[in-house]
Amino acid sequence: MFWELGHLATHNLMRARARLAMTSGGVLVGTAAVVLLVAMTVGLQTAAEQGIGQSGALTEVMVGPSYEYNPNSDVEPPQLTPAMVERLWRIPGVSVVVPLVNFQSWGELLADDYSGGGQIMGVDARLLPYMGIEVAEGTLTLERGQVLVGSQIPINFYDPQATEYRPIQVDVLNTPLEMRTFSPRGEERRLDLSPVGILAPNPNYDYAIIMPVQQVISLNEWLNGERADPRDFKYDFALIRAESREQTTAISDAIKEMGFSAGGLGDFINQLNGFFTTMRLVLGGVGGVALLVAAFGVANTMTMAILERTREIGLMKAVGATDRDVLTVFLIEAALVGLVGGALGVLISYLAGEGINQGIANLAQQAAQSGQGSGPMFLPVDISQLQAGLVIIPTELALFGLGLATSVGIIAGLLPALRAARMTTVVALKTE
Amino acid sequence: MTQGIEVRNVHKLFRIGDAQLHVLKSVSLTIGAGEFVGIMGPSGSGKSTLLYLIGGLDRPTDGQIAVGGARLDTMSSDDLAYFRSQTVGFVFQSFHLVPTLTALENVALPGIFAKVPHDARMAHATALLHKLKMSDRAEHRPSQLSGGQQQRVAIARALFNDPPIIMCDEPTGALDTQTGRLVMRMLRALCTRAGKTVVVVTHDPGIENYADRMILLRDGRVIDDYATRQRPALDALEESVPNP
Repeated sequence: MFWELGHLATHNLMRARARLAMTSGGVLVGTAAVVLLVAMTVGLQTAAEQGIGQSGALTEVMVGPSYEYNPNSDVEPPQLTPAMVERLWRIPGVSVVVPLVNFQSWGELLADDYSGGGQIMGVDARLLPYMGIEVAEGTLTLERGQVLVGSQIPINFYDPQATEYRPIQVDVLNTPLEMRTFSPRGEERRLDLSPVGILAPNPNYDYAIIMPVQQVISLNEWLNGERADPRDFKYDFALIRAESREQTTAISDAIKEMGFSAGGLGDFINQLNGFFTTMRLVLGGVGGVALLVAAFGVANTMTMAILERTREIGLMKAVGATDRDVLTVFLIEAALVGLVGGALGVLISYLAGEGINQGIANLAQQAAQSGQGSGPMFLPVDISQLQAGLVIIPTELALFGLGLATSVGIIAGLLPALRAARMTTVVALKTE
Repeated sequence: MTQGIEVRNVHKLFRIGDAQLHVLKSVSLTIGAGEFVGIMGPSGSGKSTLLYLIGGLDRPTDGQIAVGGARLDTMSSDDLAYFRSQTVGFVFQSFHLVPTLTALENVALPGIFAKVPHDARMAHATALLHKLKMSDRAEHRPSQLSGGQQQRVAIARALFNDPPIIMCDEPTGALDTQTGRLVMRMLRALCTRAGKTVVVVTHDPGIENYADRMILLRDGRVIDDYATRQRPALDALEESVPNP
């Protein structure tokens, strides 16, 4: 029955092809506007996510003392005690907790005649694989006396005798390396270090010297001149790895609830996604205006069609069509106008998107050849990050475009179709 | 219950702006199953309105209408549509064919709403056109047919669901005399051979040669109702008349 009515509707549509083409043309423009603008936000979001870094960083949440601590408050700020670390492990969605201890002073590095330095941090060697770090050279292992150094450390040595500062690169893996530090009491301490790996660039650890945690604890004991009491031992910060990026926000919230500061790239990305969602809604809304205009076109066409075919509507009813049958015929017509426009709109979007991406790729190439930086300024991201293209149309978006256009047709056709369905048979038959 | 038509104290008022037009004033009549009834009257006498009311195309303002025992005045809109589909076939002065459909598709149109499957629909429509000697015009569109041919297509369409009642509003009004006569003979044959109830509204006094009974209306009232003197003989019918 539905197909029979659909066939009738198709027949009706084909009798006014020019009008169908123009009305669908309006829907085409609207659909293409929505799809292309939304596809652009998808492209920008993809580029932004790629720009942010490796996926490992996205599941991290860094936990530290709260910045909102009020010294006048009676409430003691929470500390990252081993017991507290236990509690962090139990937060839903947490995969691993890597507690870290900072050396409470600066470590100066001495290699040959050159001097360098970094922030010393201690970690349980067994947890190294979960820190989201990779070695550019050497191995990702740690034993007493061994260190891993951040990517900036080997290239930021200098000659203390020189009058002018000039960074010098030292092959730390093959040069005897010594660390020197001073206590508040004025004592000097020297320590032989054997670097086993240089970390790949990672903003969190570029200036880090990573040691086994026990060694950092004993360095701190020496610095403070007293033995650490295991009962009030506390870590300085902790790195939490979430099971998935989506869980980072909830984990951050839970940790903030406990009185710590918490944040990470995943959290940031989630906020970024919120921004892109807003952008998508705004741009989709802009395209939606075009579609709204098209909806008026569909409504107008359907109203005209119904006026022209009033006698036919009367006849259909006279030979047994129910109000619902008439409604269905005209709604199918309106839906088809939307569907045709939507399908063409999606097709045009793919073609236009392909063209835009090609154009951007050419611009990027030109920019690269001329040695200039990031290319045109009108884009909020570095053009070189748009490898996947500025316009990305996922299948869901294409289907959404089709569905939206069809819905617009149906909604725009609803009032005219209802009017047709409610026509009094006799009046419709007698209309000239 | 036979497909007799009963009309009791029917009124029909049309509102035109502020004015009310009282088109039918307490009309009562009975039409028996298998009768061929002609309804005549001057323009504005309400004869077409009466036809539409008993055909279920419109509802009376007051009064009762029953066809085959079923009350049309109280029927739901959907039931009325089903009634029109199954019980009556309409033939109009201006044919009312859908211009974009072929003759065959026009004949089959009632089958869509009666939920007849496509193939059965087309086969039945083809058979009907054949009986009306219109087979060679099956794929023509209405604009390619003469008035008489168009009216034959319309009659075939009226017969599609094999309704017991055929209602005609000025069926010969747009046809020349010769063709008009042919159409009237076909209607007569439907009554005599197939036992259909035929109700014809017309200006044409020649109807008396075909109808069993005449009802005359003026100013919305029945002013005369009589049997025609002579029941028309069947042997006057031509071969082109359908024999459903």
